[in-house]
Amino acid sequence: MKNEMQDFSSLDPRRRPDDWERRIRRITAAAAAPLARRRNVVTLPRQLAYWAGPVLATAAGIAVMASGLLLYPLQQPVASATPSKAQTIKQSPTVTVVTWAVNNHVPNPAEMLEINWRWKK
Amino acid sequence: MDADGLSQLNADLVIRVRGGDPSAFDTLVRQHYGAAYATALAILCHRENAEDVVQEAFLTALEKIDDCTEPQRFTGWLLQIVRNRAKNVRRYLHVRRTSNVEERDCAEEHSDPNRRTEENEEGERLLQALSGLRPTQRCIVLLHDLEGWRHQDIAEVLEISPELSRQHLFLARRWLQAQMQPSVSAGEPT
Repeated sequence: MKNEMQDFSSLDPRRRPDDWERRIRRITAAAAAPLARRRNVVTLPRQLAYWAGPVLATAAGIAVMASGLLLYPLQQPVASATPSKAQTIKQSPTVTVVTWAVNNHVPNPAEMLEINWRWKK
Repeated sequence: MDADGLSQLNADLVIRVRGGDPSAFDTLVRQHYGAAYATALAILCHRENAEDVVQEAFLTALEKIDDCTEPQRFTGWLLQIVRNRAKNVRRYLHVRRTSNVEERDCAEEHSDPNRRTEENEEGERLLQALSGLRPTQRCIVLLHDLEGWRHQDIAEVLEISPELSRQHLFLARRWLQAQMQPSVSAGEPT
């Protein structure tokens, strides 16, 4: 006896397209509510994904504003490292000498005399 | 599409279904309905009951889809649900039939006379012939000859060797051929 494939087409659920579609629709219709619940369920990854956009936009805005504030002082004219003569005269002798030391300013003889005079005063 | 490609497609669909995607679920049902129905039919030999079992199995699979730890092996996972569900139904029907003198492992009980067409009669003859086989043999012959599955895939799902699957198919076909020719007696399948 030959061992041939049996014809099972009479048991094939795809044999009649309308019946096949009815079977599929029956299942998908029953699954509609559970699927909707799954779409609406609140999970941590989904919450993170939901908030990621607004949070990133806000963070980007804050970063732009912060960088603007940080860069602004750099664009201001830098105060002269060497105090002018008028400034030196207004300051106390101690402050003047400390300022010279901080700024590595080597005073000229006139400034030395001026400080000396003020100190004695 | 090869087996790896199909597994990856299954995995993608399962992930989308977890997010509640109806079109992914629809595709998953269309892809697996045939194998699920063949498996349920192999256990129950009853078309309406098999259809109900398949529907319940798909809904159970949807409910428990987060438990499917290997989405690329969704087919095996789904067919396990189908088998469990079908065995429960068979057990339930067996208990209901205990009062009957004649008990059959597998019997077609049509309630809808409109479905008694020529095609259905042929289906009934086949189911009657199939009822003489073991459930595993029925499952193998239906998955192979109706759904076109390879022995490798059948063996993986039924957790047997491909050689045993071939052997079962050989015996099942021989039995069915004998049963579909009423004048010839083939004896019991081994």
